[in-house]
Amino acid sequence: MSETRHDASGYRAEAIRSKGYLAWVMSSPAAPPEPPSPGRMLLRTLTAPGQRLPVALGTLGLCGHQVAEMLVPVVIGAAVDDAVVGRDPRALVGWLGVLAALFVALTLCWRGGLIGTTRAYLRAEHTLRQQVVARVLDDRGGPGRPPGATLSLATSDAVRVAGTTWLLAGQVAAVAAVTTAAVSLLTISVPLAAALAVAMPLAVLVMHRLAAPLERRSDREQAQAADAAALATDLVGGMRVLQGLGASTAGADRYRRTSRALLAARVGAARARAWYLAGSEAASGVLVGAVALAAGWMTLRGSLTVGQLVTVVGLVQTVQTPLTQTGQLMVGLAQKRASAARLHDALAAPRVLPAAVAAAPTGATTLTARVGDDLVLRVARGEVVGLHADTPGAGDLVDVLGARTAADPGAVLLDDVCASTLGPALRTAVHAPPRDAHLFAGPLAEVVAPAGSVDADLLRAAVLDDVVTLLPEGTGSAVAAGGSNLSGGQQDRVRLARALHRDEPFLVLHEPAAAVDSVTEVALAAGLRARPDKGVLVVTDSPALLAACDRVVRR
Amino acid sequence: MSALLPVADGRTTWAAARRLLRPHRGRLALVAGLLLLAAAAGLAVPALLGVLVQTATTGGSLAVVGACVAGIVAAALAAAALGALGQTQMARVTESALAALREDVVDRVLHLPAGQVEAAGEGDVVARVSGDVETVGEAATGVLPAVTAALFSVVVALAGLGALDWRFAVGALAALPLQLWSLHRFRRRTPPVYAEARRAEGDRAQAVLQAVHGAPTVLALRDADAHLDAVAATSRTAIAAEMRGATLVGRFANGANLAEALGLGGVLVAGYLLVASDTAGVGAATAAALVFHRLFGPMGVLLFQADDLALAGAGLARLVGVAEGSPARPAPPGRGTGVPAITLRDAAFAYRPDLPVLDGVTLDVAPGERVALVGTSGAGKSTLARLVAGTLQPTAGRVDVGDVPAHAVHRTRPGRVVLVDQDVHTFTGPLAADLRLAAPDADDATLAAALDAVGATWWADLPGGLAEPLGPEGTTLRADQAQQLALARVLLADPPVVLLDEATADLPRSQQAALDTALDALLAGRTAVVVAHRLDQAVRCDRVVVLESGRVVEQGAPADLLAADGPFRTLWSAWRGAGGGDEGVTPPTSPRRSAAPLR
Repeated sequence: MSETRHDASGYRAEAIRSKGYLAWVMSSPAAPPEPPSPGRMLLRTLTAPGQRLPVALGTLGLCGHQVAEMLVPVVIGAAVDDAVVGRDPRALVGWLGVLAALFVALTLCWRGGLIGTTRAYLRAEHTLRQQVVARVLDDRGGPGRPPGATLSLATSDAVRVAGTTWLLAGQVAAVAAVTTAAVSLLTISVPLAAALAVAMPLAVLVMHRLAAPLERRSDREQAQAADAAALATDLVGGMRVLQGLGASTAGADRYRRTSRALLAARVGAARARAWYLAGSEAASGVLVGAVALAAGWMTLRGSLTVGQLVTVVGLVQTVQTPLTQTGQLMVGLAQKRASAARLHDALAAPRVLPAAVAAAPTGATTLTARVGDDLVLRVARGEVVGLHADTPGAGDLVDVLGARTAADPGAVLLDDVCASTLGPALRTAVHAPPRDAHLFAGPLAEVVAPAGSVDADLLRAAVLDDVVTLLPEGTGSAVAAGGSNLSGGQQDRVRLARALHRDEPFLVLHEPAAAVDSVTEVALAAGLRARPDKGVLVVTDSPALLAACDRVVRR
Repeated sequence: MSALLPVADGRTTWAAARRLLRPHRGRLALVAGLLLLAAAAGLAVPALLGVLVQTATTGGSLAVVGACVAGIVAAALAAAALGALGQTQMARVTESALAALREDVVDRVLHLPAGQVEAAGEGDVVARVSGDVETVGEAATGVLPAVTAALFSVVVALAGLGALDWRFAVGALAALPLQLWSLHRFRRRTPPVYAEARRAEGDRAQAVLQAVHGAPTVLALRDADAHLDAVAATSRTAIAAEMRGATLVGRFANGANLAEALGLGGVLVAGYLLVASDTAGVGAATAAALVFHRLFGPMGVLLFQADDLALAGAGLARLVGVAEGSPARPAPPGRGTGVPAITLRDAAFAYRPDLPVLDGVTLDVAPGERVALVGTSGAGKSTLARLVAGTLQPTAGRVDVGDVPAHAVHRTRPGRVVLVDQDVHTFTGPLAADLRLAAPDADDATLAAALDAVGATWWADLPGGLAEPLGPEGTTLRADQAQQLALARVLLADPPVVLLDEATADLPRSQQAALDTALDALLAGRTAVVVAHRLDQAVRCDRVVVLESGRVVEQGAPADLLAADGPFRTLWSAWRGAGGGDEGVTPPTSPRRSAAPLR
């Protein structure tokens, strides 16, 4: 009697509090902020607060490095002219000093560029990864993608988008290098510089054309390598099945076929790469030859010094790498945009649940739910109700009670509060973990009671006590991710123990004993009453569990 | 976790690499010749530029300049073509050797004794067949060609400098001490930092993986913030480690760059001294400077990518460790002769000497007999099944299938004894490919018939039918469908001995009748041991064997055991008493051959 009154007053208090909650919901930005568009996402890796300084440092550093690299042939040419041809020891010492200073600048710039860009890149990647994980763990439901796809968002796509920092710094540095080379050439010979200004971009354009199929080929090759790795992982994952079946050799043969296809693809790609490289080197050789012919002729005529000839040839050789890079901006951006678009789609995916417009009555005394079309079940606190798993709609109900799918108006009531107004807040009143709920890695005690301390009575109720005594370190023993170091029956019992430790007033268990033996099942059935303060709903087809319930609802 | 799979030492790894390359010796010699010629032709470019400079400074004719330029172009074209030929041939050699190695590794791993894999942890095994294979593969396609070409360039260029005048080479070698010192320092300082970075990244990947895979559970536990914080914390640790790594790389680059400056300065000083003393011409001095400037790229490749090769070497050692360290691959499966009996004589098994799992079990299963093993969890039922399957060896006593020890049957006649347990792995890829693991030569009609026979008629409703891809990119089977698939594989493998260890636990009770029919079809004419938690399955067998704490405590025909007041009767009462009120199963008076149990 007194308990009822307590519950009623509790409910009133909740109702008053819920007004405040409602006001908070209305005033605060309830809808999570829209994720940035793909273009803005790329831009933010460069301009977000905290990014600007490392990005600027990185870009400046890499620019300085490239400019210095371009000046090396200039200094070599000058040293040849003044010191070697002029046989002047003072000039030699002077130019060696310049060379030393140049290299110190070159290497310090590179270090600064590396540190700045790496920091910006790692931070951007971190932010994106956190956004993806936060979206997956959004209390109104994740982006609705299979785990594999989500993982690739949090890893490959985040890495690619964050790589915008490297792309920007590298591109700006390449432009700086080309500019330096152009200015150096202009000071030596205007006609030569003009001719190269036409010839070199043409050569780069041709090389890009040649490289496009090469990139597609190498993408295919990487995809095939990933397939082979995935197949190997899959076969190892199913090793027990293969060995039990005596099919290890058949499995290995299947891998061999994939491996042979990969071999052919790799050799083909290597040949294409080698000949592309050869084409590039040949073009470079022809260009160097043409420059040498022109510069040699000009040197013979006396309009170019020997050192200048050395500088020109050196520049032509050195500038090709940054020149090739400058063309890669658009390709790189397109790739990153595709990744950003994928991230955007996942982050902007509609939520499964509506936002809460009422607070869950955590003092509620009854849970009423419609099962399928024509059944209504009612669970009061203090009773254990069974729902036969064959009842149409039973599985769907568990997902609604766990707030994994939205509740239809009127389908689920907590006292007289409709669950469709609660959104994710339903979970504060009802604990309905998914069947085969994940076991997180950690000591058993932490897995079973993440927040509080382990209750020995509840371990006994879940028939976990005999497992604990067998474990080397008792409740301190490590549980591997996914419970992979426990048998199926042990996993079930850990899950049940964890559920029994929860504080929500209602508990929904879906096939809690699917993998335990019949004797343990009977012991476990008795344990369902270990929390008389709760209303417990058991969805199962196990006769032993159903027999232990106060009432059984079935079709 | 304690007993990781073997890792080969340096000598074994080298020996294995040599053995893998031995069939390609001829081609390797060709590769070396081609790359040497390519490097030499490449060197001709700066050398001819030197001649050109010499001609220009001494007022030679345009014809000589033209000849030099023609030579430069020809040398560049030749160097490019020879290099491409060499790289292509090298890819053939390394990729073939690598393919042979990875196939060998996967083959060996799939045949590893189950106990060894469990001791090593599946993570280590997966890391070998995917991570290490990929690391070594990427090194072989990306780093190895670059490093080889760079090595040839540097060696040939140094020889070329020496040929111009030995003092140029001495000047260039001024770079070497600083390079070696930087490399040494880098090598000494990076391993712990890289190891920490890899560990931190592994922790982060694990945290992300758990959050993603366990997302519904995280939400149910209302623990999202803690998981997000855990990912962030591991991420911050990883970032700190990666930044330390970047700092080390930056310092290493500083040393390498300053070494370049020293070498270049040395060559210029040598040029000045030689020209000033009229020992060499300006052309030679110019050529030397250009040769050295051209070396910046290859030297960088050697210094920076040698590390990647070292990393790949570690991966290679781990691969060779598996390929060399495991027993040879078994002979191809032969067809057995007839349906054998199973004999256990005082069979015992223990993971730890003080904790016996099975303790002196003696049991005879006649050819074609179907025996149920029952008992509580931990009684040793699964261990007994694995002893008969031969994936575990008894620590004492004998376990024979026919007249042969079970583990020998498993090794030499895989497929004769088939064990299906609760592990309902489905293989990614087409449904038909999964089934063909059990029967590589079966046609589609046979596969379909096997699926139908075990009640898996759902296959016809899949969008792609038998070709439907299973796994994340196609259909993910429910647990009960996966168990039916496992039973269909057994039917296709057609073994004389079948062991079912809780192979039907995930099938809903409503499918029980269909399942009983399927099991009758599956087990007919085979010697079978069925481990069952659901005792209605046990009473359908010819004989029930009750295990308790690793010993046989009772056995006999189901009806007799039910009539007697023994351990089975107790188990049955516990199981049936609990469920009997709702939908109990009345024990049949005569097992299996009678009508289906009353419901």
